[in-house]
Amino acid sequence: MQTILLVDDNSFERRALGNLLKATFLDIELEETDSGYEAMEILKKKDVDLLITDIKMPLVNGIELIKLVRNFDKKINIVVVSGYDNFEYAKKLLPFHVDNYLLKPINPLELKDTISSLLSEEKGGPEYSQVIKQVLNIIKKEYSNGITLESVADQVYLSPPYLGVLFNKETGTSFNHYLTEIRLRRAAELLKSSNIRIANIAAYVGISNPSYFNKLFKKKYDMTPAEYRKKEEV
Amino acid sequence: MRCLLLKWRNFSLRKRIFFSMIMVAIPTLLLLGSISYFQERKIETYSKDKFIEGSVLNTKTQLEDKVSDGNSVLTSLAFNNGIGRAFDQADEDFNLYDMYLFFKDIFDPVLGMIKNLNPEIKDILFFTNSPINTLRDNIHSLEDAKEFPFKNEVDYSMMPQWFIDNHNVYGLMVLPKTVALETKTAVVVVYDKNKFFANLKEYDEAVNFSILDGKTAAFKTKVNETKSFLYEGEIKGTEWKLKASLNKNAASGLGAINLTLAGILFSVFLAVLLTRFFTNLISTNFIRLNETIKKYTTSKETPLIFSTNQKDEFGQLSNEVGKMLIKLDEMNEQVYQAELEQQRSKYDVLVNQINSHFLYNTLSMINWQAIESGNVRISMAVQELSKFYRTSLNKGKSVTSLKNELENIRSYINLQLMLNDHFQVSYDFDPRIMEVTVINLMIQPLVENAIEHGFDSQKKDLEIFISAQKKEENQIEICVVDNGKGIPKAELDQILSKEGKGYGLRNVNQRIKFYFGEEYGLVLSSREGVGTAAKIILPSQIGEIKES
Repeated sequence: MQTILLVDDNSFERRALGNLLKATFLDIELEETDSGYEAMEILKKKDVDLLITDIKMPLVNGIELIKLVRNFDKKINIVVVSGYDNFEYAKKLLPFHVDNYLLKPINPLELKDTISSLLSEEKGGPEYSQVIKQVLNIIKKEYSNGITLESVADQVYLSPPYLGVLFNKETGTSFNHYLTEIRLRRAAELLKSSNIRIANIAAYVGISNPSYFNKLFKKKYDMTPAEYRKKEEV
Repeated sequence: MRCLLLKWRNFSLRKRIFFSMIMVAIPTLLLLGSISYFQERKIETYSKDKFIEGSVLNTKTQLEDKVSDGNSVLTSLAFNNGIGRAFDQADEDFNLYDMYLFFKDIFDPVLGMIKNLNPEIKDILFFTNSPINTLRDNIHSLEDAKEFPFKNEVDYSMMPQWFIDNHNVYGLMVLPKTVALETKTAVVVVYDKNKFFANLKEYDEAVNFSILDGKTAAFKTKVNETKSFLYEGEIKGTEWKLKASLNKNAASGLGAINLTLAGILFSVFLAVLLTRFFTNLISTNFIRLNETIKKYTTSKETPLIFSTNQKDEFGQLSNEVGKMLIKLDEMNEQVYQAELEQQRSKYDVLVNQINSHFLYNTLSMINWQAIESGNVRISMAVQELSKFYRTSLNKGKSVTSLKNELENIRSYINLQLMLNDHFQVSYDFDPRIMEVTVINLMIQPLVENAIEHGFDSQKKDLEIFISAQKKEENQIEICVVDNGKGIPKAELDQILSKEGKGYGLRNVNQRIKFYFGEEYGLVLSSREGVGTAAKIILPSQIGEIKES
């Protein structure tokens, strides 16, 4: 049983996010509050594994809350959920180590991925090195830009073969496999949630050859994209 | 006259200055020239007259001197008693010895002396009826005189007489009775005609002389006949008349006059030449200034130099024009900057007017309700929409990273596809250039243009291809290519230069040039029925750029 503290002054947002979390993760205890001040009180009393907070709140705002939390708890995972992607906020939060920064309106898939990896880490699951975390982040954000092992290795200042080995060692899967996985999941989501034609979806997720995309998709989901779409529509 | 004035106005400055100077110089020169010409002519005529008068008188005097010399010789011979006595021996039986003595002591010495003193004398002849007439070669009988021009004139006279024939000039005097009573003897001095009249030829170039003996012309320096005579006078001691006429060939005597005329012509020529030179000198600066200004107005690109170290009015004018144009450029730049500033502030106002916090919160609320009701399509659309607005508004900044710009374009295309999936899109991005700095909302107008205007609803298999690649050193190229209906050539040339339909594209081009420089920007190419390609060229630079 892991505890998640949800802080948001907007009750609708808080309730909806809470419901999603509860529906997604079955064995969690959820605490929620509408103020930073109260959040501090809860944190003092309870052992919280994950703090999910908004930035813009009255009295004690998200940034101040994170500062205070980091004063006495270095280990707690923190995820920011905000409508603002203000660069100034991100800069202010840089020294306090925020695990992820999610923007409203939230993509449920993205939320799920982020929270589950943090929770499994907390449970004593695989803990990635900083550089692999960075690589995973790059893949999640830029999978559609035609990234390759080479271009990502370039970004993290490692040689491609070394990154390949390191990636394999820490995640248990190859870089390309992981990238394809992300792309296919995103494609599956789009197939489900839009009527955009398959070739355009393939292009969107960064696979320019539609038939190659079909082959990859079938390998993973055991059905063609068209079949997948038909099935999900029902 | 009016036409002339109009023509004059249309002349170039160089021509006008030239003609003005010529108009001043030439009449003055001609006036002065003609005055000097007439003056010269007057002087020359005067001096020529004087010269001719002098030469005529001189010639006459010389001739008279010769005649007088001849007269003296004749007189001295005619009045020589010794000679007279010898010739007066009328008797046939003269004493030969006496004669011998006479010739030896008197005749030969006297004649020898005279010939010595007067080398011009060719011969001295005697014609006599005295019996001694054959004793010497030069003593002839009176009868022999018939062969000479003076055949009838062998008579007594106080003064010697002068005759001329084809070759010679003869002076004749009959010994007076007081010297030789019994016989009649004439003494004749013979001169070579040409030598005798040699001095007539001295002024050959200017004056022709002729000698008239009675009515017949006895000697002429020129064969040409002349009717008008300058002078006619008798030679003292003869019956000859001296006539002088102007030599026609030399009559004009234009030596000095020609020189004057040549002088005038030369000065006119010199005036034209110098006028040209100075006109050019003066007008060059003006023409250069004019050319520079023309260049400025036609092509603004070349940096032009107006400043000059000339101190005159042209120099000042050029400097002032230069300053004026610099000011003008500054003002233009200011206006341009102000325009951009205005555009940007308009944009800023617009961005600020959109309460983004409110927008995202609202979208988030819709998203949650869609998720709760299981409507994944609405959730997806809302997410794409918020992504599109987030990257479009870009927190009010003008520049962003290529990564964000591509996210913007992808969400835009996804929304378009959600509305109506009527075209195929493909992407080709170089992942190494994702951090390159680009202008915010730079690609979207190109894609919008392709979707809204480029696509022919009749055509199937519509496609858009979007790529971002590294080109040459330090350049990236972003292409949006469609296979739509294309843009007509005439319209294509105007899209980037004129306001109106292609405002979005023009604006993209201007913004790129403003931020990155003139060498970068948007290039359009299109073929009707085939499609359109929009190409953006940018510097490959990362990080902040100066927003001037």
